[in-house]
Amino acid sequence: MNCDEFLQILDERLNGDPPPSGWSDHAAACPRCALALRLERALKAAPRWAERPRLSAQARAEVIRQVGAAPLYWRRFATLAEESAATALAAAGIAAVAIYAGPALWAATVPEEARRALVPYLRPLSEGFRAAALSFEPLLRQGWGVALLGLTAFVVLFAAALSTRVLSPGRNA
Amino acid sequence: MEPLPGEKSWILKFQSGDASAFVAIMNHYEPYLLGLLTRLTGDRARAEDLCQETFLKALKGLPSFRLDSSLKTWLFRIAHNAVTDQARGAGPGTDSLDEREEGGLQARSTAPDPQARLEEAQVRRAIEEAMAHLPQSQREVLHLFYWDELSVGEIAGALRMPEGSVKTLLFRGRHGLRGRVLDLLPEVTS
Repeated sequence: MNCDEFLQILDERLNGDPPPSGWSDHAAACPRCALALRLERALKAAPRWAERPRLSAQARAEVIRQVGAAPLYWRRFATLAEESAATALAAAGIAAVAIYAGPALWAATVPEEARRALVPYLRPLSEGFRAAALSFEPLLRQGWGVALLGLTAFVVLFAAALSTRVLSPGRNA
Repeated sequence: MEPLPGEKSWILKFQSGDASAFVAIMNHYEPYLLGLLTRLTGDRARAEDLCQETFLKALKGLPSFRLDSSLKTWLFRIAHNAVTDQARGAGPGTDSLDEREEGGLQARSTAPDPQARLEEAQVRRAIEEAMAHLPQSQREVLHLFYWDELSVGEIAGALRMPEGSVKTLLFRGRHGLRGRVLDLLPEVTS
């Protein structure tokens, strides 16, 4: 048996296959393969010799302080609310960019010919989108309107996130 | 890794309002998670911060945790994500082997005679040093497989990757580790 064969069997053995008879004799004659075998044994024994560190008292105290900080029942909703608020903010940002910078970006990045070819297909879509966006415009002129729109987006996303969480089995964040 | 006795009942207790159940879960998993995070960051202080962050995220998610999932896999996934997120923000972590392992490695030798104990300690030190030079993905998979005794399927679940990829990383990691250890201990092989 040569070193390559020995190491190949070493790998296969780690997958649960039993080694052939006389396999370890090679290690007795070859220091490199003997070391490879010792290495594998040391790795297999790692859980016994590994250091198991502990958090500092300060770090543990901080986690434990948080454990007692809020009523548990509401925490699941608090997490969802946080996620929904972040998504609502991101969605609002994307929508704002699309509305205000979209036409300029479109004109700057897409060549004239391509634009002309795409117009018949995109126009109905953009007109629908524009009409929907314009219907919100009066609302956006009011301070309370922005808040109301944001709250609506948040509620819709919260409901969607809650439904997904409830309906998808085995999903953990 | 020893499972936490009565794990599901601890989760249920926590979900029904007993906050002390979380401390029991934390006590059990803390050394494993901190061990992994120390391995991945090479920096004990940073690992502690990430471990704290992992538990705080777990605290948020545990109220809606589903019992048909594995808590162990879930916690390792949070820890993995914490490291990945931090690496994205702060650049690659230090890969140096610091003084963290030396005392622990030498103190737990099980070999019968002093010479064998010395050699065993040498191999372990070489393993630790070689691990620090492996790519993070290989280091993480090797640590989860050997140090934390997760199965290939559990690692795949924790890292959200196919089992085939875990096996490939294990294979490459083992080979990289072997080559490096053989280089680090030339006197043993001569």
